[in-house]
Amino acid sequence: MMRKMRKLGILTLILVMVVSLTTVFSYGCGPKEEGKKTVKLGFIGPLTGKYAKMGTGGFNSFTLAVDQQNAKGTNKYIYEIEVFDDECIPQKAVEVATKACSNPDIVACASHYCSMVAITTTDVFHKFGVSSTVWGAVLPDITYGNDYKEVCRVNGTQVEQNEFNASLTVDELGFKKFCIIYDTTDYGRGHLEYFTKSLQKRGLEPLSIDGVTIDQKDFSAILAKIKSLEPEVVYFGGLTATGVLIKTQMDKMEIRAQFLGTSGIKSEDFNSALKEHAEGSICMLDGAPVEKMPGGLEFKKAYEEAGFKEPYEAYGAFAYCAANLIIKAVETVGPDREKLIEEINTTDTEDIIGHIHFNEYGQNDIPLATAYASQDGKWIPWSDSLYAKGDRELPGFAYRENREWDNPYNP
Amino acid sequence: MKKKNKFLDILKIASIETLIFFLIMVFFRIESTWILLATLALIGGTLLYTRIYKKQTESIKALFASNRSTVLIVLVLLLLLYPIVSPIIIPQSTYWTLILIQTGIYIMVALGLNIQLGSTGMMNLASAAFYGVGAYTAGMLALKLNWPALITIPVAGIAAALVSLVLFLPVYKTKGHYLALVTLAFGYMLALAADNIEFIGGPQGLKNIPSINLFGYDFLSKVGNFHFYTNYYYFVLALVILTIIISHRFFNSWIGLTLSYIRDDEPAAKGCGVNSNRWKLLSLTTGCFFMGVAGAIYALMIGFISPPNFQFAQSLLIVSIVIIGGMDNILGVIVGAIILVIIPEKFRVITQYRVMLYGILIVVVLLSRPRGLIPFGARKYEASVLGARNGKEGPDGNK
Amino acid sequence: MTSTSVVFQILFNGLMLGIQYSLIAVGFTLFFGVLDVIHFAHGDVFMIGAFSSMVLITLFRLQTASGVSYIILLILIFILSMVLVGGFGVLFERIAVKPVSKGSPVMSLLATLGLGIAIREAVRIFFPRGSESKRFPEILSKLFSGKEAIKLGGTIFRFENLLILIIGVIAIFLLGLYVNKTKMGLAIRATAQNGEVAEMMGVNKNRIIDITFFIGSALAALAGIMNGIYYNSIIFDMGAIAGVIGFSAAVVGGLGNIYGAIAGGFLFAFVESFSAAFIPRGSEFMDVIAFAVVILFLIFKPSGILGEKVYERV
Repeated sequence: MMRKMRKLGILTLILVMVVSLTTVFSYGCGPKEEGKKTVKLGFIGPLTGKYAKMGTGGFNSFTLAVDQQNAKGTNKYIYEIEVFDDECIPQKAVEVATKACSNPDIVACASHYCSMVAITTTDVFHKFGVSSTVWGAVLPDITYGNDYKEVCRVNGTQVEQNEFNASLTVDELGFKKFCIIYDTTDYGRGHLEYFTKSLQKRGLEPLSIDGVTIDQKDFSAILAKIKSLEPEVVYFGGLTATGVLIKTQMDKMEIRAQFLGTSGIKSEDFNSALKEHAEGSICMLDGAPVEKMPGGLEFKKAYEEAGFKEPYEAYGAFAYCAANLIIKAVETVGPDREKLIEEINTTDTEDIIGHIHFNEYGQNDIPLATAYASQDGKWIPWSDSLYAKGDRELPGFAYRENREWDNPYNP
Repeated sequence: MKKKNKFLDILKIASIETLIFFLIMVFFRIESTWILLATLALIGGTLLYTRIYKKQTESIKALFASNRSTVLIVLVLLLLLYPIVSPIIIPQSTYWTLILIQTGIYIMVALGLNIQLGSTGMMNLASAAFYGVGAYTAGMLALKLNWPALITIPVAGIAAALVSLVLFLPVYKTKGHYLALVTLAFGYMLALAADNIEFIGGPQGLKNIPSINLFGYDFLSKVGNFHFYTNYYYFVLALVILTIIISHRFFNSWIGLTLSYIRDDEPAAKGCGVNSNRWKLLSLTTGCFFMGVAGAIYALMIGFISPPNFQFAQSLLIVSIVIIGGMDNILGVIVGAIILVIIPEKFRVITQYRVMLYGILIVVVLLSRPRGLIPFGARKYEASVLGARNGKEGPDGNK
Repeated sequence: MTSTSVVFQILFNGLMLGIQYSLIAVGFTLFFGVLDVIHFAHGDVFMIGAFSSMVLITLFRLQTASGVSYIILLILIFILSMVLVGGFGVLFERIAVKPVSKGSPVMSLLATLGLGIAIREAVRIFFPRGSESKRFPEILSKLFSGKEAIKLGGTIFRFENLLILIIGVIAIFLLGLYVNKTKMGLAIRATAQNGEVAEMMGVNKNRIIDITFFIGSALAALAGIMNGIYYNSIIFDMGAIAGVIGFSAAVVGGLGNIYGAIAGGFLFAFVESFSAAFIPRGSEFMDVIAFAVVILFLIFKPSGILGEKVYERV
């Protein structure tokens, strides 16, 4: 009996060895596809956590582009996506960026929605020598703060956003008294810096500046202070989760000021979480609205037909273009990491967002930014909105004249 | 005849260890979920096998126990060979080497905590914060003051030890759950402070921390064809072995004995003339020194540190390694680190459920094996007693 | 708006925070008194309270009701959530708290920590889109159709906040009555003082433990509902920091002492509110300052404000 058991034991051991050896060596020879080789592209974005929607929107758009390219049938290679979740946490992002770069099959990456995360992985991509095309992070330093050839960006930066923001609110709408709240990550600080600069250019100084952490839930103390200063506008440089809380508490404390945000709150969540309290808020986004983009309507149609559960959100279109330009580069120079870095840097092409050209810092110079107004639970481009046309009154206008503001939106 | 048997023994041990090593590398390599599950089943089956066939297991155990030195030498050899062999078998070897290095770093931190929690019974819920102190110290010194990286490592350790002194007064005055709360609050404070002080980077942390550079040789440079984490691998391996040796000596000396005494019954120890405060202080600072050193290495290697890495969740991970692996037991701590760090990395499939399973694991382990998977056994008293008999000094300098 | 009105506003905000912290802290202190455990998952029970009430609100379609039926539904939801969560509390206690209470305090601390993690993650994973923050509906504003707040010289006192405050105070008052004047309360106090002797006197220790956990968890649920109404936003990890704060408050007040827990809760809230408002950059550092205060307390008065007797048994 013992002998038999022993034999069984040795047999199992041999079986294990055989199995493992075969797996090891079978992986070595990949599946031989008919002719075309598979090239892997990495996609990094926040797929879980508070900004999951933005990351998923970007991922879906990226996937859409890749699928369309593969369906064309005229490309030299078949493209596959390896997706990584950065959770909008810098440490996690460094880990997944390292993981992506250590995978020799991945030839280039498209990365990040969160600025504070993107700024940290620039070093990782540089160290490993892998091209990373940013599709959603707006902190200027990501491209301008270094001379890494590996990092390029399709979307705009906070500089343009905030300049446009100031020109709308100060020059056009005539607001003068601003209180600024910013989140203490590099993203929020970036907005603070550039918006303050834009205000100063117009001879204005903010009435107050207050920092909040991204986990913070209670803003009553700052808001009490702000209330006593009686501003016309409360500017918030930060992301949706915090923005929702601040606006809610602002309204509860009956602070009579216009709420002004940045690309950070340009999300569906902002409107769905706040319902009627979002009405009349203003925010910014780099680039033109999707409907106005040269290829925007087709993108919209294709996205809807593809049947994704989530909307493409603010930066979907940029992720889409990132995919296309990476693929274009691979088709030109082949799946070689080093060559791709060079090739992607010289991108000069047209896509749905318009002309894409990377300057010497790898930044796509998009001079344009668009303002949006929250109208009936949706973000409408400013020039199309009833507020711009004068059919509806901005809360800020009513408060400026010491009147109550009638909220036209009743869901 | 004896020599031949000995040779056979060595061969057996070497082959078993090499086999396990190889299987681990294959484990790293496999991506497909089904094979992973099959691996788990295999491990489960092996455990079952050892349960049922006690006799075979006993003989293997005895084999390993009696040839301690051989086991260790073979192990070290295999570990040394790993970076050379792994790129052949694992395509993503850079990443796994990184994970192994990370595990080594966690082992160092956990061993530090083990001295405090396992040996002395002091509940320190801020281990990640001290790890952070070491990391930030090394980072700031290397980055802003351009200190040579190697020197920052021991300095970081000392810094962490010094910071721990701040805690000494509360430690001295409180015990049990109060100490837990104090360290918890302290850890929170350090993490929050790091998040808000821009001078040390704020929520973005510190970037571009230079790596270790020995006489012009950058540790992050490629070694021939082997990727750039190889140097760090050996460096960390050496330090981990050093830490293990130090911990082991601590444990087996009358220092360890005294600490255990304080843990088990402090009033009694005091009654025997043990100055528990002095020993607690020693335990606190030594443990934090290890944590600081580990943090420094991490900072220098990765080149980027930020507050989320040093928050309570990390402290919790370290505490779990000690408690689940086995309190006051070096092997237990190592096993704990391997289970809690490497396995979750592999099972990305269940990434969603990872943290939840982790919480459940803690509860289950504490309910069933409250002293950890590999708890410390009874001490071997002969050594200390014999030592005393032979005229060596006892715990308080008395013969 | 004058400076005094700012101060009053902050005071009021502090009160609102304080009542929530106190309700949680009371749970901690009760559990410690009765079972000698630090129940680190208690904060997550608070979270479950908020979530379950939100679910009930949607289930019972509170927002489409009006008039008398609205009020009845509202009260029903409050009570049901508290009972439900109280039950959960007992469940958790039976599974993971009582079994480890016999070991060292380290064990129970860790086990409850693990339990808390498991609960938190379970909600994140299994609740639809759990990782996002959820909008907690404004349920009390209907009661005050039209006028939402009264203003006294610049300070705004919202009616719904006043109502929450009153409910919380009543809850604490009732608790005090229960513990001090009823037979059950006497049994609880006896068990807290000395479990073994209490058993010898005929107290069913296990029953008392169950009841204590039920009450403590129900109070945490109430705090959760209040939190939801106050911030209009709940998220799966809201219990983590709440638990730590509740624990700190209980310790500062003196573990085992209910009034101490209440005092500790308000103290913590006021320190937070005032540092956020008046210390430059205080808003970012308010938790740090509060915790520093806690540590100082522990060093200089380890038995807490209202005292816990700390004996060292030899």
